[in-house]
Amino acid sequence: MSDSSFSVTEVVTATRCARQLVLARRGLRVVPYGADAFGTAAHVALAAVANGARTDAELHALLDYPLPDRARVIQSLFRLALGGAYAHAKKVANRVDGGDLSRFADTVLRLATLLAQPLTRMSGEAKNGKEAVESVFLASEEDVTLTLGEITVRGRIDLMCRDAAETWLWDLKTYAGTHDAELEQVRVYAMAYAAMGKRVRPALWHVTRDRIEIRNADPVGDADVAQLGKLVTLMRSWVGGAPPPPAPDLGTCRTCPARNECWRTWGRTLPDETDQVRPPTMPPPPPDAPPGAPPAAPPPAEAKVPHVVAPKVALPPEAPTRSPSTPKPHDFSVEGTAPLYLGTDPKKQPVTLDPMDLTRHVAVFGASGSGKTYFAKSIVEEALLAGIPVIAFDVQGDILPLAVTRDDTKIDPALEARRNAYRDRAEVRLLTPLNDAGLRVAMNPMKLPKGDLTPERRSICAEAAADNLLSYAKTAPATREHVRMFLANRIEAAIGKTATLTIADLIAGIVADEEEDDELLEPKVRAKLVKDLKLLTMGTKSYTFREGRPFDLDDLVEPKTPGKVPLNVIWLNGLVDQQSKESFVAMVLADVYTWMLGQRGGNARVLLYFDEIGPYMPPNGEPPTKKLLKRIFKEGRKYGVCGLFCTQNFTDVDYKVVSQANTIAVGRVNAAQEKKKAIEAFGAPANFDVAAAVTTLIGGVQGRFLLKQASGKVDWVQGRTLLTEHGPVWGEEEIRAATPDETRNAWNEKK
Amino acid sequence: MSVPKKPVTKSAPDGTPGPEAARLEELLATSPSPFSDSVLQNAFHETPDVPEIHARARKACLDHVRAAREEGKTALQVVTGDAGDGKTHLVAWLRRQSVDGFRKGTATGRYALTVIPPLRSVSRVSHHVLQEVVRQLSTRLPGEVHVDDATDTPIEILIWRALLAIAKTIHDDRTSHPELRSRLEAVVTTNPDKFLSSCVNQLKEAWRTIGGAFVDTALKLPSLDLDREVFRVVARFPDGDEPERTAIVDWLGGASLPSERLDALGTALVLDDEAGATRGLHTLLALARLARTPIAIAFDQIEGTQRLGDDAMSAFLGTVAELYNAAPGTVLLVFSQSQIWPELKKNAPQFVQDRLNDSPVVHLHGLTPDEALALVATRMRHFWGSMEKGPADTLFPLTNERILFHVKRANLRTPRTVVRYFQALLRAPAASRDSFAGPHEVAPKELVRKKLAAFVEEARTSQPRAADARAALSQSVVTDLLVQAARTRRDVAGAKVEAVRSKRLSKTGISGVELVVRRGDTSKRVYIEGSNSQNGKSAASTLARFASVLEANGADHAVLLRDASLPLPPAARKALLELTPRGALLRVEEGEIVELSAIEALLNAAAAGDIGQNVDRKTALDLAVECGMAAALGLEQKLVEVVLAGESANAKGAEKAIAGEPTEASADAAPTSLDAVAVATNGAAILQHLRNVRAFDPAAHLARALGLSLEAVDAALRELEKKKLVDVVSDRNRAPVALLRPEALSP
Repeated sequence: MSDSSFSVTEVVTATRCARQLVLARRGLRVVPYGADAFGTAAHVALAAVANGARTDAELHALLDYPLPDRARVIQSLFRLALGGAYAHAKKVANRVDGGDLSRFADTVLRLATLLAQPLTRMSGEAKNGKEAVESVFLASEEDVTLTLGEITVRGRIDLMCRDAAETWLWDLKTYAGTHDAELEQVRVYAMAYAAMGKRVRPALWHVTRDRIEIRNADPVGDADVAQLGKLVTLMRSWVGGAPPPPAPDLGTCRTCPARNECWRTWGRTLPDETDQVRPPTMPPPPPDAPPGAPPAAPPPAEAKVPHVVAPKVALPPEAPTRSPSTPKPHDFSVEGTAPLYLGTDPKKQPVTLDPMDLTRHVAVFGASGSGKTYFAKSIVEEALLAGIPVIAFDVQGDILPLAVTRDDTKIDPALEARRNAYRDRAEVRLLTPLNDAGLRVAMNPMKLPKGDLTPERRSICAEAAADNLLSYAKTAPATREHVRMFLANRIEAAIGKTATLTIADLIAGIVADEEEDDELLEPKVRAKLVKDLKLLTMGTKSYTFREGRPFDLDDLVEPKTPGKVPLNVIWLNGLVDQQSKESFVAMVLADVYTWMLGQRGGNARVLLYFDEIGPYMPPNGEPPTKKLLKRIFKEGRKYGVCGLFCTQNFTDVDYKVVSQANTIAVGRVNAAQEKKKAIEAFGAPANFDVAAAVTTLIGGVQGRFLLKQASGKVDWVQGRTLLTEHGPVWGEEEIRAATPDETRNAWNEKK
Repeated sequence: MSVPKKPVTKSAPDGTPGPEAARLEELLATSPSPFSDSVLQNAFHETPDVPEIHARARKACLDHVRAAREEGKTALQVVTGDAGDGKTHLVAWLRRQSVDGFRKGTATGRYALTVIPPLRSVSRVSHHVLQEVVRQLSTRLPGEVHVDDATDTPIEILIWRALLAIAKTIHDDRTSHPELRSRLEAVVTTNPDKFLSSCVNQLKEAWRTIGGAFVDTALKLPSLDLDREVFRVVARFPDGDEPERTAIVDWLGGASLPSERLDALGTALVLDDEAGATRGLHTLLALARLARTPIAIAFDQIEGTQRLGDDAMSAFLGTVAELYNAAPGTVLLVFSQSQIWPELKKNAPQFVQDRLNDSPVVHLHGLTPDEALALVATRMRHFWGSMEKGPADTLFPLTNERILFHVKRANLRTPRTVVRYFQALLRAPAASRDSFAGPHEVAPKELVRKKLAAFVEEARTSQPRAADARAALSQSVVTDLLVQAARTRRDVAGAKVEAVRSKRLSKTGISGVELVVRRGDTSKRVYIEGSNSQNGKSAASTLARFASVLEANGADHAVLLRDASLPLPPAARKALLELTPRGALLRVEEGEIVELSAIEALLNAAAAGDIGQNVDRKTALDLAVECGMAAALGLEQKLVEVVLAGESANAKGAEKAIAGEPTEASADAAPTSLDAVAVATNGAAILQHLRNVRAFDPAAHLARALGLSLEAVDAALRELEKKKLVDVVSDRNRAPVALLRPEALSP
């Protein structure tokens, strides 16, 4: 490929690491063998599904029904995908670990699960199954060419698909975490189609072994194309011999198979074991600043590392340099109400948070790879050390390693005492709905609140329970609100009269009143509702409600061993799809809300930690989780319920919830529009130039955050090293290994 | 000695750095040092090269390579130097020449370089050399060198070239069958130096009709003189696709493959003993000669072999001398510390000394000041050259005069001292560099901790070792740890290690380890051996050794160390169960292997003087234990627990270990039966799992998920494979993985 033509893969490679672009052009492999090596195979599997589905009679027959058996549709799609996947797995088996092959198989299954959704939805509208397939899968593996000045970018789309009255352009990624450059990539595809008169909505699919994430891209504007144009111009210069900057995320270097060649050509990116690299210096406070004023914001990235050209949205930011060791966090006590140690400021002084500040909630923002999860996990560790029980929702499997403390070879000596205290105090429970790997929990979608409640709160609890039920039971949109209120009325009537209400009880009640008129629902709709509710008492859905120990918040915030502090991590990946996850989370949140109302004010009682909260609290739409989160964050302070949530962008979440967070940390961001949001969130504190500081967040250093505390003080913080492991995501095997049999047995005995 | 002036561009007249100098100093301070890697972990790491340093040694080595390729000459060259003189750097440079030779036409031409680490066992020298040579030649070359879609390793290129060379010989030989000569016409008329891929495709195409005749004719050619049985297997290369070729390479590398894999290769021969390994090694070197791609075998850090005793060093040098005698066109390079080489050589047999005297020793001399200056200048140029806005003077913040001033004042005579000194100098504040007194000594424990961390990372990311090498590694390093426990009276699982010694069984020559442990009044003598053999006969003979040791009352217990992902072949499983309660199996997990590997690398580096002046092998091991290598020490503890848990518990433990279950003495479970009914039942469960849970899954995962033993899963998978419902493939560690065939998805 010439210097004036790049593939889309090269654009993404350059975004990950400019040096990798040059090395890949020399024919070197830059992606390690392992799970990531299956990207091509997953695309082959996707194409096999999209093409095979058009002529597959078995699939068509399944989709001939308006309400097809979704499990069989998934199986049918998996069968189509398996052919390509199998051939590739066999070919590369002797170069990868067996575990990588099983992860690949999981990914292909997830892919089939994902594709089944639009097909089953369309089956109700199409005349027959064949038409449903053709209406959904519009194109796959189609070549697209983009001309940016003198440079051409060539790519091939993965799938154009119709779903929910929209035409989507879906780009498949087999790894987690979206880089904004990838969004740019799929958006430019969309623009190429727009030029051909086709309007498509671009989105990224992240399909990995244990989860599916869909990230919608914003519409394309001229500025985006200009930015991509700048990137490809830089790419041309790097390929032409200009020194390429190192990877913005040094994690790339740790696993890069071309590392030796890279370092031989351009020098090391990571220090050797004896080298003492100093972190970049923060400039002193300006001469006219008052005594004691905080230091000025760090200089812009381009001034710090001159060989890196000023980054824009799609450009690789500066290389992070890490301090080789964490400064000693002074003599913090790890008992009771000691402050939470978050890291150090530019003067190497410890940055702390009062435990009570947690009740005013903490929000952490940062692009993928910025270290936001790492930072948030350090807050969780500190909360536990301060005696605050934690309930963490683990969407990806990367929160679970909080169960394992780092060993002596990995822990900073200055943090050893803290690590030891954490090990002594944390009572870890890995909760696994619909799965026996850890401690299996079951949810009652209609758990009734205890104690005296105001009528308004009783209604809130009842409506939340109705929402939970409806998230599982399908209802026609036209009657949905009526059904919801009908159910809410019945549940509300039961509050205070009975301690528990089961689905069977609810059905029995509706059937018993069959002859009575209801102002909300006609008899025919009620009969249909009864049928729908009965579905919840049978089949796999019913397992969510009945298999495992019932979820009980009182139980979860109380330690089994006196003196310990419970850490409850709820693993959501055992649940089949995003809808099930949302429903389950909604049930937990409803439980938290009803529990919360029974508490009295005072200390921080429990910390709710939610990583990647975006899909559960989106800016648009009103999933049941969003309503509950809004209420919990709004009212939680009074009851000692603390919130800690992370997401990549301000625009991923509802601003009302963001505004409830009084402590805000923002790490590296990759999108220019995030700057404005960050400035709004930080306000205008005295003696700190927020606007200048925020500028450096674009392409900022991994692990460094601009922190606004509840007091309004704003400063930089370099997050401390974790006391626990932070490595590959956990799956069933790791959970099983980390849950002793006796713990599991004891848990199950109390069903 | 007066301090030379600083460059005028760097600072303001009052001595404070100007903004440009300050910017550059900031870059320097916040980037990895230009003087990183004062110690190369191994020859697979590289630093910027200064050609003029040790130019004589480089030329001597390359001259040998050239003579080997062009004249078929064999060379045995000893290179000596002090710690830090650049022996490993020289090997790394030779490796780079080799890699470049495969990728593009270089003056030196094409040759393969392999680096043999110190021995792990005195009884398996040839096997150690063979498996390391094959493993390293199986590493994919960087860059585009593809012969076909899947061939980019030196060993595959070497075999293809050898087969093409044989094709040419057969074609040119008028006594060959005319039909065969005619069919080879298209193969030999293309120049493989320019169009290897095309030649390979033509040979593959022709092979369908001429394969058998080709091999028969080749074996009759007196000029080739190849081992018939070994060559017949290697000559299956054009027949298979990548998995088959991988199996051939594994087999040639001395892997003890399962019998069904051997059947597929059409042989019963396994090259996992010394005699077989010698045959494999000689055939490989002969093929290299035919391919005009000489193999240079470099023995680095040979001081590490000394821990096995004088016998081991003698056996090692004996094997080197035998290779010299029997493998024409091979280059053997021995790297040793100057001060210990005379002693090592003195203990070698006379015929070995004679061979060693054939070429004069090349000694790596200390650096001249000008060479030191060139080294510093190269590092600085490399550093600033990768920056977009580096200084015009790439020596910044140094000058020629200042470099020479420091070199002379600190008497820096080896590359390592130069690099260490300037790394510390540039980390010192600019204002204090003129009075810089030299680098601080790092505390040995801290140094060992950091080195261990680096070696662990290396072990995690590098090319995996062969299964047999992993077994040897486990046995060797566990022995090191037990010896350390005995020497320091360290508690292991509440017991004291009273004695550890190598136990060489006279009948086979294979050596295991004899251990005596005591807890309270209980004392046990244990025989330990590591084996990852996947071949039924080989694994069973290991267990036969166990039986003979136990029968002769040579030990109270015998413990087999084996990778957790590798099932025992049926015959070995049966033999082990017969040995209970005195025989036991201890499964070694992947994480444990990684730590054991890091400890081995640390000890070899310490023996070669690469950790620090005051850190010898024993000190390094003591400090490694203090650092708490949890997985490695945990394995040592498990071993002692297994033998001290009591005989009845041990019986259950052994059975359950085979059954893949936890080995706690309190647990109670019967071993899984492997009769035909059980195999069918297990097969049905596996099939259901593959259909409904995960279509591809390693056997070890399946065993855990279904609560079966690894051996039961393996037996069931073989049956399913026969029915064409699943394929059992080997992963990069050669552990079995089940792939559900697409046609078997539906019942």
